[in-house]
Amino acid sequence: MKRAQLLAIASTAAAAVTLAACGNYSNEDIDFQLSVPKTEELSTRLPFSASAAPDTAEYYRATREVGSAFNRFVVDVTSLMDSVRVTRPSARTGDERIWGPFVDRGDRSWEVRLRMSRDPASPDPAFRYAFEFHRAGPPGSPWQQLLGGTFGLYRDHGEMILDLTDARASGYPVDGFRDLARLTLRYERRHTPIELTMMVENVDDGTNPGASYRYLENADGSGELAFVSRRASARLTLEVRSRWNPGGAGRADARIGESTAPTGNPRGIDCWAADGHASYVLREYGMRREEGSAAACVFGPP
Amino acid sequence: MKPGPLFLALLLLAPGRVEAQGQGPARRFALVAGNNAGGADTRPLLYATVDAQKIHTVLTELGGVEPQDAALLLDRSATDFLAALDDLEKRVAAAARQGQRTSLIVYYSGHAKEGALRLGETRLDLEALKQRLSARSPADVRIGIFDACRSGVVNRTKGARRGPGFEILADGAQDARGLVLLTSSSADEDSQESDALAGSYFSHHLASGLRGSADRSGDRRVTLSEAYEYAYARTVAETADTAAGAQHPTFDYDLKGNGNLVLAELGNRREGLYLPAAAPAGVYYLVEAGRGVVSAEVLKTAGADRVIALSAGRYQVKRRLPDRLRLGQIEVPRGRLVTLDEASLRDAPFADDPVKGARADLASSRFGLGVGAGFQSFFDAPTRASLFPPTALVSAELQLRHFFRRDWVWALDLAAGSTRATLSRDALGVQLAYQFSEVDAGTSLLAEWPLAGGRLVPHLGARFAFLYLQRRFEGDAAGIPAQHLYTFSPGLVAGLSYRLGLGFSLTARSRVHYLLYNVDENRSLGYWELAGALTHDL
Repeated sequence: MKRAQLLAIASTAAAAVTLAACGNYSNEDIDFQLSVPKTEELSTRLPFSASAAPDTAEYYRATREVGSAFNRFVVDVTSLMDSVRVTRPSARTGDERIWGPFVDRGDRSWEVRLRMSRDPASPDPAFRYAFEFHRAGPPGSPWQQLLGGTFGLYRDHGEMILDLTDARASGYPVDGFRDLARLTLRYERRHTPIELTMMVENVDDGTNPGASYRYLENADGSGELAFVSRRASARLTLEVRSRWNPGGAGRADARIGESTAPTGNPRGIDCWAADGHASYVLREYGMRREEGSAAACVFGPP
Repeated sequence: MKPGPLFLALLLLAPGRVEAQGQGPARRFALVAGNNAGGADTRPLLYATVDAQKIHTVLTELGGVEPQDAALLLDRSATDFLAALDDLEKRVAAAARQGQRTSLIVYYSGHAKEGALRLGETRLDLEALKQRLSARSPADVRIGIFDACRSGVVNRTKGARRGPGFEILADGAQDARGLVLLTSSSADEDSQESDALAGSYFSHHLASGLRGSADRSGDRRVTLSEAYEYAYARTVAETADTAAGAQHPTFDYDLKGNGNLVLAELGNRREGLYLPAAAPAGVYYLVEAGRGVVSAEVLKTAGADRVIALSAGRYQVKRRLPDRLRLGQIEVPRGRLVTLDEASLRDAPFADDPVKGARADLASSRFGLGVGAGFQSFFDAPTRASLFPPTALVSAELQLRHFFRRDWVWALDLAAGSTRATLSRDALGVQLAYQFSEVDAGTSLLAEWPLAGGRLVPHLGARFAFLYLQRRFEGDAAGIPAQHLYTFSPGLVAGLSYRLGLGFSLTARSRVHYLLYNVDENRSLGYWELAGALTHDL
């Protein structure tokens, strides 16, 4: 081959591959990734991390357990979103990003993917997302949504809805979620107090309809956690509202009663000092009991 | 080595006052042509036009050709050649009508192929030209000199001799008439160019011989026989070790009359260089100052003095020793001989060779290896701020010189660099710190134009590079996965090298490149680089 021909071929090839750039070098991806909330940003933080000793206030220990349950639900949801932060999108089309499809680690007969989209004409919410699943293998197998919601820019507010109805109906493995049917988590971090709310709806088997939670966190570390748990079988509603100050001292007020008559139900009150030890206890259900002085409570009645 | 065919034939000079002893004066005419280009199927020659200029100068200074009787054609067409020949023959005929004896010298240096001289894209049938000179030219004596590959084919059918010399014996007739042909090589040999001589071997030695190197008898005249013998011996000796092999000039003549033809008359010329007997023996090169062209070469033997006729001007004198050069400068005033003073010469490395082309051969090998450092920046500010920050780079480069063609360089380079930067995402109200890194692998094709005897070498060319660009986020943004971009990038290169000597060169270079960014959107970007490098010949 003559050198001139070689040069011509090389030049043509060079021109062609010039347009063959590839990679994930993207500022837009960063916007998507930074807007996915982190687990710790949606978790409750209760006063002092030491495990509740047996002699700490009962309602304080209960509050910690409720907070832990809340955080476990958060992990269930946010773990599905972790792929966004640690991997590059598989596809980019305009204002949409897709991560996956990935083979489901628990069952390789399923594939999962995450879709995020942005509507520049509607900056709030900034992003919509859907975590989807479908049968691996069959071409054209439709995608169904497992988790969806919206994010604000840089994780400042959003909503995450985990709905297992379609998943159970199609056979997608969700045994790890036990009786959970639907979980709605909303977060608001644009101002203080930061507010997290969660609605847990269980499968309707007539026993445990679910619970709702509301968590508030102030900049000084004080906060509040309220939850309502409903037991359909006993037609009971348990409401607990816990409050604590920056030092960790707090008060929890509980009411137990029939769901149709929440007011006037028997009360329970625990007040605790900064070390978690009870300073005042009141029980109006079962055997009535009162210990300590209500004056020792750092908070008054709700 | 000259890749294409060079064709040299010597046309017999008619005996006249200048040519032959005892003859009345003759009027000489010369057509001297040189063509570096021989058409699309040949590689360009480097020195064919230089050869022609040398021969033209020698013939007009020493060969008895008046400047108005000489036509010099450089890179012209066959039509121009024939038109010039027509014109000269008309003037020959006019001179003959006035009772003058005439001779016509036709010299050609260039490509010849398939029986034709290659003057650019045009062709001149060699057999037809020979027939014209032989049978139809009005000149009394015709001398043809062809310096081209396989030029001996012109003599093949005439039983040309391939030999070191000849004597044209007088047959008693006073007025010589006829044709002589000399070729630079035989019918199956290449004719070669030499970078060290900045010319073709045969034409160089023929010109040197005519300036006095061939004056074996010492009578201050160079005859045709002397000139041919000298050129033959020097050509064979210097081409014996070349890749193309030894090159053997050929001769043929059909001449009647006094054949001891004088081609150059040195006795009346008082300009030149005198090498005294005490000067060291060896080969002396006289190089035109500023042009790097060898005007003459003289072999001086111990105890013998030599005179070389030179045009007035400045020359560099070079004598080559096994481990160094001896260099000096002389100025030949008009009408005067200059005596070479050995004490005025200095020792110099081969890298300082003043011959154009020799420095490229002697001072640099085909390969060079360099290291350098530079700076890269994208043209537009938003790209620098949000994608690819300005970066310092270190680099290494391998050069292959005279690739594809002479004075073309094919280079392979590798560069890497890194810098810290901050990315602002205003919509999020965040500043993200990251480490930016880059690796470039490129290939360039450059054309060089050696100046100042090869010491300064500007170059221009094209480059094609593969880029790997990466950024890793730090601090609060460390959770963001590292980002990469792989892409190809075409560009242009311009630079200037300065040869330091001892095989080292210093280069300053600039590049401009195009890059297509197509992740978030399709964007055509451009960046520039400035770099310096130190290169060493391998």
